[in-house]
Amino acid sequence: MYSAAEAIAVISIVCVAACYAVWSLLPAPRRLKVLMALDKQSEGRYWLSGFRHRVLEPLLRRAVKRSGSCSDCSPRKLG
Amino acid sequence: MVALDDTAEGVVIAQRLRDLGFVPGATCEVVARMSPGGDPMAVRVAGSTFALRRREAGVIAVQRHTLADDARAPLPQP
Amino acid sequence: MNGRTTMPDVAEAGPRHHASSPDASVTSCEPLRVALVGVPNCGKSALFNRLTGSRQKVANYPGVTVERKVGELVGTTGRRYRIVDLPGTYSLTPTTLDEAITRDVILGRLASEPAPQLIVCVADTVHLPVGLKLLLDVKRLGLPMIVVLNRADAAERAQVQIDTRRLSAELGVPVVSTVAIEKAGATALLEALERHAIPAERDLPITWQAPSAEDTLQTQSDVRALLNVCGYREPAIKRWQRQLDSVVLHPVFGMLLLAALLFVVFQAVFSWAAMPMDLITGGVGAVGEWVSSALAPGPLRSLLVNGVIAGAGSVLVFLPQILILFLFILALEDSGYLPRAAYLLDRVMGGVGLSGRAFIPLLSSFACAIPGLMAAPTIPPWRDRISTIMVAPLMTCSARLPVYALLIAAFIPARSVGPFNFQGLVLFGLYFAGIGSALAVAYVLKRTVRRTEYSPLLLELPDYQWPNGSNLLHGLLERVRIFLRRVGGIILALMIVLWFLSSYPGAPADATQPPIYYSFAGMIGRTLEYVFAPLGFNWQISIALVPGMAAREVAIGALGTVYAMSATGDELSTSLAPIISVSWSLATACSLLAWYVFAPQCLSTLAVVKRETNSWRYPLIMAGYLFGLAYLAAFVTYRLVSALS
Repeated sequence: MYSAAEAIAVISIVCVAACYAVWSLLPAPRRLKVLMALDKQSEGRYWLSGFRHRVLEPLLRRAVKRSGSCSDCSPRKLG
Repeated sequence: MVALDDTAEGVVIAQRLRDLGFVPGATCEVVARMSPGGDPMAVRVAGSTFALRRREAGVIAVQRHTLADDARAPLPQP
Repeated sequence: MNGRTTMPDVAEAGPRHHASSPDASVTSCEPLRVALVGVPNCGKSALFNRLTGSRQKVANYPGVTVERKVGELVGTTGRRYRIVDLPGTYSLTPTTLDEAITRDVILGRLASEPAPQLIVCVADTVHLPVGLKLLLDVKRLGLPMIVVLNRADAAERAQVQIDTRRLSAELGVPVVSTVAIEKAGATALLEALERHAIPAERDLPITWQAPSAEDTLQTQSDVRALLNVCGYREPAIKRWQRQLDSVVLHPVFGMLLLAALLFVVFQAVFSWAAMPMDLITGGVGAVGEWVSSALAPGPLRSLLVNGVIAGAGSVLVFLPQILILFLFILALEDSGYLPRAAYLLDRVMGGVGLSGRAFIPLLSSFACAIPGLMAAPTIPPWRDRISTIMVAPLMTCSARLPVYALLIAAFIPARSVGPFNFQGLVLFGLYFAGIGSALAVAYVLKRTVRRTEYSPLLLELPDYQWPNGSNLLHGLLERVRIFLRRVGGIILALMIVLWFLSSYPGAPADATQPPIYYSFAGMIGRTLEYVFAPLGFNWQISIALVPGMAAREVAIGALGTVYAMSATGDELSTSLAPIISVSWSLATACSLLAWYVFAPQCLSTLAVVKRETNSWRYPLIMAGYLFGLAYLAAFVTYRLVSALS
């Protein structure tokens, strides 16, 4: 029983990490495109409205602001 | 300083030099030169110092003052 | 010639449909939109930091890589402000992309940035003439405005006195004095903001025409009249500043001083960081031991100990060295030395086809090539810019520092050579190899890419000043934040994925090697080993190079994980240097160092180059030539060191 729970935990950690890594290596404009496609797909499906409101909207907002920038390194310009 | 040479190729440089305070009547002083030819050189005008290359500095026409003339006169009246 | 080389019109940039800020419609009371405008070096950014503190967001204007800094502020009366810090400019007639952005935001031409309702025009009191010129240009637009005379303390020391009341009366706008570097420095501005009535919305965009030569001369004479009226006297340069300049700007002594300064920086990176690094190593080890004693053996424990702690922990160790490097860079920046270094190097860089202006983007590439690349658009002609972009990745970025530091610590003895630390010398040499090869590549480019137009130097050399403690602290904390975000974000995630790949599938029953040898990662590593064997890389290094593409320092984390997984039995190995120093030859280590001087091991750099140049051509050329150079350099190094030892 214990080892089954452990396996599930490990698998989910690895999956989350893989998704995060792929996501953060995507260039910002591509990320925006993916989000916009998701937004379009979920449009009009009421059971997804919570997801759209709580997850998609803030992500979209951030992606719009970031598109065209490097999110990892604050471009602290010297001089 | 006497005038800026507004020839076709120098027009952007001349405009920017004017923005920085290189205008007829202003006093400018060479603070340092990198080489005997002065490329680049550090020029002080209106209380600020700028690094200019020979080519930028070439746009500026100057009249030489002796050190005595130069000594911190107040800015000329407009 | 590329379309973006001539004066860029940024009005059409970026995705328009989502650009109108959704924040505004959510709240009942919209914040007052304020823009900070001023010439470079007027202390505008310090004032912005003072006003908004940590409530600021740094991003880019969509479609262009110009930094956009926006911060929120709530006044004592509860009024809210949205403050944007525009790039410094001397004039509304732009010569660079940054300056074009400033103009377009002020005029309300930019779709992605709402037009400011109120302009705060910041001028350095000591260098008032140039600031006042910009101020008059902006004031002609008829926008509501507050004037800030910054660096009032410096003005007092330089005996510059300004009759602010008179200036305010002449201009017809409020004028306040501030000392942005002091704690209460922004209070006067804040009070003026609170007193200011909410301006009416205006028709956008505001029409504006580039001033003619006569207009500018007229403005300059207005400036002089104003200066006379309010009692400004151009300050004499301080004696010590003059004397310092005669050394710093000297063709011979100045160059020697520059070399000595860089040398000291790299010495310090090694000799100062030892203690904090030991502390972090000890801490990471202790956490690892605690976790492995608290959990039963199994995949979860292996994930935490070998993946998370050994992987991410081995990168974390390099934080002190990165901070020391940045302490120096920030201090040199604050003191006004950097533009002087650009002045000194203009001739040398001009010889290989780079502008002296490229020095600052290239110097910031020592932090990370990406901000360096993003600063490159401020170099106007296309050819100079492309040269700068192509050589920027050769500058040793801070992500390479962990790789260098690990290999140096493991293989180079810490003895002293004369007064110097040998490890520091080697590090200096590696940085120098990067700079030297950058100059060589730029020279080749100069010979192959045709020259398009001339770009002026026109760089301000600000007065020297002591670096400000709180500014340094702010900058260092920012670096800590960025570093920890990387370690806790992308590096951690990749380490977990790598752990998975190195653990499965498990070893066969008759295994003679550690399980990782038979895993997915082991397979990849053994395949790549065919390519890398001539360079002396073993399969462990070959594995580490793959996730190292995401970011260079990830390779260190990956080595940490790979070696932790290779360890037989349950023994814990959270510290990497002792392991590699026994399992690698000196030739392999030197070869890997040479590889890292050149290798384009950073996907984000290539992505930014693609965006900056708007084509796949340049990133592909860049990746090709860098990989070629890296392979060649590593091969030669490996053969040489093998033959010698």
